Amino acid sequence: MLPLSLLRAAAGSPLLVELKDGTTYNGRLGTCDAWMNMNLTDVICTSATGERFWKLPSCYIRGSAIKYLRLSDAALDKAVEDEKEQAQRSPAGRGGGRGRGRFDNSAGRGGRGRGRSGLSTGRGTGAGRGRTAAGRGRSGGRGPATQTSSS
Amino acid sequence: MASTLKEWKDKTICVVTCDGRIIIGKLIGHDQVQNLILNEAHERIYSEDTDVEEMPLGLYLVRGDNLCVVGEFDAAKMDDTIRVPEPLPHIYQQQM
Amino acid sequence: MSTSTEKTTHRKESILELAKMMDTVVQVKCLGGRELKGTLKGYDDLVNLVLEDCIEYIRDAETQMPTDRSRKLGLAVIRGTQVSLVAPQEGAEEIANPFVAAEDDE
Repeated sequence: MLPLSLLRAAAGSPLLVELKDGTTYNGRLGTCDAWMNMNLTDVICTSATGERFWKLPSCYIRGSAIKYLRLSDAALDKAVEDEKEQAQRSPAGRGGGRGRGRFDNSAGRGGRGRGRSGLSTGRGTGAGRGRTAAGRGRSGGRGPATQTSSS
Repeated sequence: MASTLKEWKDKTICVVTCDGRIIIGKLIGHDQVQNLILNEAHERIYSEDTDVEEMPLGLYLVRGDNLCVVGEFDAAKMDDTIRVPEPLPHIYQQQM
Repeated sequence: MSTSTEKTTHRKESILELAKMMDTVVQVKCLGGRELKGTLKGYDDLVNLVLEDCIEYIRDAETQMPTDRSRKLGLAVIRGTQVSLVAPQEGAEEIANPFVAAEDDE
């Protein structure tokens, strides 16, 4: 399991974040992104010394400022479930990175774009794997490439 | 010996973080930037005057930036009576 | 493409919260330890921020902890790379240790 898929599954559940400066933030996870940036709600902030406390209705935390996170066990269960669901929906699983195909060359963008948006539905965690040369090659060889040559 | 974290998947590992904490837990996931998911994690706290204390942490996600050392963990080889030595005095104190 | 779409949607979701904070007073923590407060007048995808009537909390020389003393910066642009935390000022308050009760239960 990838740490970020776990984090995504933890949306809505309680979470403790310690930042690099030692302050901790206890709250409910709202949204998070691929950089581990996140929004928390109903936050209790504790100073690095553990002596002072603040209540914040919400806050935005930058991923790079995080030292570690503590999650609820329920989040793990949810992540395992999500992973299973994902595997069922796209058995190939590795199709992920076709999305990067647009970096191959600059021609035929429109056609390929359309092709991809069709392919991309229903897979999430595989994203980004296509950075490899193989992934790119595949993307070029797909239907949209023929469109490129015809255009 | 393991050359990649993959080989330690689902094994109990020991992590030393940049801030000097020692965290033990089962590695259930990691990514390219060495963010780790540790399940049933606990921190081992060494101190000068008491035996090693274990602080349960539950499900833990350590950011890769904050990792220092990752190692295999063998509970049988642990000695809970180890104490942390007193820190060395400042150099200017020794000179006086 | 879908990867980037996915990222932007995530990013949009995150940023959405910043949209909610527009023209309200926000507290900003920076990576070096500075803490700022000001009215959020603008931001971009990189979380560069524009703060109006911005103040910086002066830090204690020894502990490096921000104190209640502050200095005025006025209109300021905070570079996104240095931002570690953004939180609205409204509803934020210092409270007594909320974890004491929980610790007693254990």
